[in-house]
Amino acid sequence: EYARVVLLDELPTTALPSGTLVRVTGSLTKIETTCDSVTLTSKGHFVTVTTSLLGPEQIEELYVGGVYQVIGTISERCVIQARVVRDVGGLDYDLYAGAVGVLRQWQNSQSLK
Amino acid sequence: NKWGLDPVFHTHVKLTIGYLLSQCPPLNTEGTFFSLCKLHAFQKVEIVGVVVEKLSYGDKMKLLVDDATGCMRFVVFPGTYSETTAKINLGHLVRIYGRVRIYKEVHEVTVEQIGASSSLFSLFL
Repeated sequence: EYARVVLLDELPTTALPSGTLVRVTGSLTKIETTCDSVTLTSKGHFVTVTTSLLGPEQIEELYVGGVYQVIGTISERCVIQARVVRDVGGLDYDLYAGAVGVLRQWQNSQSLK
Repeated sequence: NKWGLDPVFHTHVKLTIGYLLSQCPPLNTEGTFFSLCKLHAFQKVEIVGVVVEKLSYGDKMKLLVDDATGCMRFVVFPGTYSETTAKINLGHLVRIYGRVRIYKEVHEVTVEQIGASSSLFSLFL
């Protein structure tokens, strides 16, 4: 099973069953070390990401203001259990959202979904 | 059999995992040659994706790579393993060149060359 690309502004409206693998991208605005979680934000929408499954080298690289892509399972609305975190600093989010739209159009045309 | 006369047969075909798994049926019972657009036969691929799982078995390494269209297993044997084990970790965007086959009813790629991909938009190329 692969991680489905979901934009942060789509999360509240997309009905995803618990346990679905998702890939989200956003800017890190808050780190809470006491409960092993961080908050990713994009265009006014946010998601809480728990980092308990990440290795220490991945957690050490996280900093407020960085742009990250998280691959993980969605447990309940707006809480993602991260498995992999990628630093995508410098990513143009609008261009990325456009690319995701084109990818989805192509997948629909090829009936890959 | 004129596959060898087709230049596509000898190149690493750049594909997404989703397309490879759904649109490229095997051409032989061993699952070592595959069809591209019903016109070409190929066995080598170039795939770009994010490493989401990394397992080491002695001197062999298995990677699970996700490229937003699908997920597939990549096997790195000792010759290539010694060059990659220190460089490839979880979350890295990698560009892989290898030979695809069906092993125990599952697609997997034997890695010939693997390296970090520097472009943020590699996944959509």
